[in-house]
Parts: sequence; structure tokens; C-alpha cells
Amino acid sequence: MKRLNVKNFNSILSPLEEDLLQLLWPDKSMKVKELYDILKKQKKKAALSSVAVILDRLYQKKVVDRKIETAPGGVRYIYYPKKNQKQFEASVVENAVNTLINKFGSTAVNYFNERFSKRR
Amino acid sequence: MLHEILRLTETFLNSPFKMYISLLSVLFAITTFVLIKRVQKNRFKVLFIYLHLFFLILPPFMFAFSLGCDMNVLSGLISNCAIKVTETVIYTGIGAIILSVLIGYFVMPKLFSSKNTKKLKEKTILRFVNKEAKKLGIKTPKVFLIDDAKPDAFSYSTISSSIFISVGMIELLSKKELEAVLLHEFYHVHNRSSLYKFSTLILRIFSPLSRFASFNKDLDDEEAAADNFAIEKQCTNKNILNAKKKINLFFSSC
Ligand SMILES: [Zn+2]
Repeated sequence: MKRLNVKNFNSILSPLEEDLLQLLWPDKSMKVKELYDILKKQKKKAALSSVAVILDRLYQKKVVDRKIETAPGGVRYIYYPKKNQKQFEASVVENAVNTLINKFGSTAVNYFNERFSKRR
Repeated sequence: MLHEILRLTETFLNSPFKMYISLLSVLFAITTFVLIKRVQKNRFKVLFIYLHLFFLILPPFMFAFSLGCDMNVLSGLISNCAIKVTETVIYTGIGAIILSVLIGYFVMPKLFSSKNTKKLKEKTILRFVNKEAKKLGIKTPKVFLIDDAKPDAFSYSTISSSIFISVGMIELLSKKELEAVLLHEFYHVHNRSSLYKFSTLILRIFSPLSRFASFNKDLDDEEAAADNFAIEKQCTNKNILNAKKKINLFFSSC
């Protein structure tokens, strides 16, 4: 799987968000604790609480979804991707383009026209 | 009309019996207010809060009653309308009781269940809650699960008691840390903290005297006592401290 270029994306995703999404995107369902354990093995320092916060944030952003699992000894969320990597990237691009058009109107539109006609 | 009201107010003030009851009532209101701060147990504090409110509203209630009666507004409702003070007292009392039962039964649970909650089904936690309730000799509180990743736990006790705990709290804490949090809530349930907290709120709204007393310190003490309860039961402060550390970290993470 192609890894996102962290340098270009770190304004959109924090390093920890990026790490967690890379783990979930191959269509996996995982508990907070499992994700935390994997990151620990990869020597990426993140507290369990921080992993939980980031996953909650990704859930609020509707990038991942979750369901409650009740098992002997505990209750927890199982997180799984809601948007795959392609869909997520598409939504990022869409947002960026919308922002540019909203802010710069015709300047942005003209630029895009020029840019795309060149490419063709 | 206004002249009529003024005239009837004068009759009210000139009625030695009504004035006597009113003054006595105000005196009781002040006494019970002082007692709220003096007694230790929350159940007595709550009792005095409601007694205070009762004595506070009695004189205006009586005045309104007597005014309505004299102006023939209520004559259709109460036979012969010889405004009996005893009747007023009984009606006020019954009204107050019905109101507090309604609040206890319906309003309080509604306030909490508006959050995304459902009954907790996990056996280990339920067993622990059951065991601790037996030890304390209280009715086992209902345990509800809040569908939220933020670590959160609270409880209320009116006629029945309930403990609420979020998924985030359970998945973040170890078994012992979770037990420490549950014990903390058990203290609140046992001590009727939520009822006291709720009652001070009502007091703040309805009693002008509440401006002269702060209940924040009482409520802070309540939290410290709940922590101490958990520490004593577990013979260590390690778990409750670790739990707090994890919770604080969650809310300070970015
Ligand atoms: Zn508390």
C-alpha cells in the first residue's frame, strides 16, 4: 500500500491520525487497545488516552466508524474505516478546491481552467 | 381594583393570626436555612433545604389565598371560603411533596437519559456493583452505559439510584482503576450527593437567602470524600490517581 506523503499531508492529518488511519485502512476493525499495542511495537510513542482521543476525533470527522462491543471483562469500541484511502483523499481535495473557489472566486476558477487545459 | 387589593392587604396585615403564622414561618425559614450548613448528612441537608423552601413560600402563598378568597375569586372552588390556614398549610405541603416526587421520579432520570445511554450488560462490572451494594447494605444501583468515547462517570440517587459510565471510561481504565471510579460513584450514591447538588440548585433559584451562603465548598468536599472512600476500600490511592491521570490526559491531548 502506498503511504501518504506525510510532509504534504500533515496540515490535514496529525502524525498520529495518519498512523492510525494507515492501520485501519486495509479494511481492519480494531479496538483502541489493539491499535495502541501495534503503535507501541512500532516504537511510536503515544499514550492510550491520546490514541482514544484521536480515534474519537476521526469518528467525529466521519473518516472512521465504530460500534460498541460488550465482551467478558469490558466494553469497548471497535473502530473501522468509513472512507477508504481513495475516498478520503478525494474528500480532502474537494474541500481544498471548494475553499479556494469560495475564497478567490473567479481567480481560482480561471487558474483551474488554465491548468487543466495545459494538461490535456 | 388596585384600591381593593390594597384594602385587602391591610386586612391581611391586620389579622393577628395570619401575621403570627407568617412571622413564625419566616423564622422557621431562617432556622432551617442555618441548619442546612450545620448538619453533616446529606439526607438531612436535603430535608432542611425543602423545609426552608416550604416555610419561605408559605406566607406569600397564604397571602395569595386570602386575597383570592376575599375577592371572591376562589369562592367557587373552596366551600364557604372562610380561608382556613390549616387548609393552606395542607395544600402547600401536599403540593411540595407531589412536586418533589415528580422531580425525583420523572425529571431527574429524564435529564440523564437524554444522553445516549442504554443499560450496561457486562457481567464483571455488574457483579462488582452488586457486591459493593451488598457490603454497603443499599439497593443495587442500575448501571447505564453512555455511548461516548470521552471518559465520563456520574450517578444520581433519588428514590432509586443509577450509575452512568461511558464506553471511553471503561476502555481506557484497567480493572482496578475502573473499580476505583465505581467506588467513587458509590460514595455519591450512598451519600445522596446528586440529590443534594440538585437541591442546592433549586435553593439557588428560589431562595433569596442562598445568596448569603456558598455551597461550592460543600460540593468540593463531597468529591474529596468520594475519592477517599475509594482509597480506603482499595487500601491504595494508586488506582484512583492513575484513573485521573488517564482522564486528564484524554482531555488535554491534541
Ligand atoms: Zn464525584
